[in-house]
Amino acid sequence: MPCYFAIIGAKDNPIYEAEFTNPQLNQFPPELKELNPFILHASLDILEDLQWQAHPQSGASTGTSGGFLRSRSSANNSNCYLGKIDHFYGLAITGYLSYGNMKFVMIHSGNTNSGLPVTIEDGPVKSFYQEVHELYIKTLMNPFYKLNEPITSPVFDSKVRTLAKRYLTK
Amino acid sequence: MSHKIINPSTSVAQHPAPQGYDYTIGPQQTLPDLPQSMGPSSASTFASTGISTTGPSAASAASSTNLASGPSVYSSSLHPLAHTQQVSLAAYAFLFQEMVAQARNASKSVAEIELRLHRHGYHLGVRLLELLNFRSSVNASSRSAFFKTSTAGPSSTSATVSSSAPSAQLHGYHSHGSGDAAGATAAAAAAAAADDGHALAHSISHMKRRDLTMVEILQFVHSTVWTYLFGRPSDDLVKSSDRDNEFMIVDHAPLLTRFISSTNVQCDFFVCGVVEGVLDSACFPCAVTVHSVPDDKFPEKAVFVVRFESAVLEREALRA
Amino acid sequence: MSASTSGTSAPAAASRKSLKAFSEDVWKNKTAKINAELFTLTYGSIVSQLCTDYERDFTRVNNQLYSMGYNIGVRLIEDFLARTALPRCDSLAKTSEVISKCAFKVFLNVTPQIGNWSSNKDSFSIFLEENPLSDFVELPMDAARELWYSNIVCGVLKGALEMVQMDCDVWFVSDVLKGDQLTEVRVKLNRILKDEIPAGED
Repeated sequence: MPCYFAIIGAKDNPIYEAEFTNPQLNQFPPELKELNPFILHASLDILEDLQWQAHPQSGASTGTSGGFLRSRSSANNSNCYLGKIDHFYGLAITGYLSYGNMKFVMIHSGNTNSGLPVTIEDGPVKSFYQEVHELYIKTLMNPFYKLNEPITSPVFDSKVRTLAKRYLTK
Repeated sequence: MSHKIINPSTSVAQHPAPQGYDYTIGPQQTLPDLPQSMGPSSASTFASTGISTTGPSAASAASSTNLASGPSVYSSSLHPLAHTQQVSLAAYAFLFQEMVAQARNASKSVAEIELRLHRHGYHLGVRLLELLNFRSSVNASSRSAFFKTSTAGPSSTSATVSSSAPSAQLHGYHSHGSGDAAGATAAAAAAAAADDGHALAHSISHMKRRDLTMVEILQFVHSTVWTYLFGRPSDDLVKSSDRDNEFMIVDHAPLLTRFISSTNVQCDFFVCGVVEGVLDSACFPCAVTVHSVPDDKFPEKAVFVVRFESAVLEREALRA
Repeated sequence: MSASTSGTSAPAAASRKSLKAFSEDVWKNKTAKINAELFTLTYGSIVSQLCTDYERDFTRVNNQLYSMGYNIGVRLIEDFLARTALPRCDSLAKTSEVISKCAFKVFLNVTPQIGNWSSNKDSFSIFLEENPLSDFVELPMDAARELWYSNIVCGVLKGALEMVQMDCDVWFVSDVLKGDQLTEVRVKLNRILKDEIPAGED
């Protein structure tokens, strides 16, 4: 399923963006592609609200999920992975926060344009976020990287895409 | 960079073979590692459909050859045992003295020198917040992995082996001479950890919680950060009785001032910077100052005073 | 290397032991230690701040790192001799061995390889397989050609050797950070300074 992933910095500036699509089978329709950043930014308010809640995951599932099945096991004490935080028509938006409060956000779209709501498998999505988090920390450890600057490294890009392939495609 | 105009993402085609993320272009499409056969031929197909994949696919081919040569930060491990673990305090003292000298030469006033040292510390602080919390997650989940084997996935066995050693070793940084046997296990663990760049996140079942309150984040500074930097927790963490937003971290014998003599400049401004970097990037904006409070027992006793901005107090009142 | 600044009786015993074991002992039992990552991160902060201060004029950054290293070297040698009490080296070969097996060990806890001797034995290379200065570092595109990230090491060697009456040129030949296979520091001995000439005035 096509996804749009972004890391948003402290000043709501994107420091990294990527689309994970399979060009032959499925991709965002052009009209939606342009909207992705806006959809994503619209959900940042919700994310900022969840940021300071003691149990962000349970709050999200009662408030905003539409037909969204959350596996019980993920409703643990952790507050980095926030699960599904928002939705926009058939799209689902998931979020993750790093310790330095970088916002990792992703729009998940269904395989077809049938309009059916997307189901999120928390396990792989969480793994994806955690591994991107590790890559982000490696980026940050580089003394030449400054906080909140765009991550332009081609290695980072290719590693993130490899992770997307491993965890987000079926 | 700053004057570039952000183009819509569909304009990728005009851009010569981009590598990595470029915020002036926007997100790059496609998954990596397209099957080789798809390479050039499919690229032209996409170009003709008006959706530009020529750039990225060419770039990924080019970059994959580039990446093979030369190391990158992404291929090294974040594991605490993957690198040299200790250097001599003398080497650090020499480096620190030069940092102070450099700051002094570049500054016109004492305040500016202190500002520069503070900035160096801040540079460390923002990094330590992410790094140390992440490492705690690795340790915590490896401990639980002994009981629940199903959570960690295919690499669980190697991950358990690689991260069980550090929990014992991690706080031994400053011991004067660890035994040979311990060194050998450490090396083996480091090798296992370096095996796969992703070994760490892979083995984490639960990330450590982000700290949400002033007390939580200060305890992180008091224990985790201080132990990492100086080999022991700070001597005390006190809340001011006068002001709600004020906390004090007490260090009876600050390592840096003890070993790094410097006239009329407070080296501890570096540590202030570290603390402020940690707190600031964790979204606890504050000002940190240092005061030397010598007493009979501890002639070099220093108190780091943390004053949170009022917004932090308001936020905490709301969520309480 | 000279032990002129320190006592000369103890080292006789020390030199009979293998230098490696001796250094290991000094490192383990006579050296106060600190987290290597604190060292790495602090150095990283210094270099990146210099690049900003000098508006990415990397030649200037190299020179500044070198001169910082020089300042360290001239002071470090005393600390080194006091701790190890090694005797004067009778050849450059011996000096190179002391640098790799002892000096690098007791300060940075690494033991680089020595090699690539010139035919007339007046210059050699130090190969840094591990470099605690440059862990976690990736050079930005614009710095990849000119910046010698760990250039401070050259300055330290220059300063320290000068204090023991050896006038040397020290420079980086290659660095893995630049995509090279090895990190190689070249040391070339120009001349032995006379003892009575105060060092450090070149």
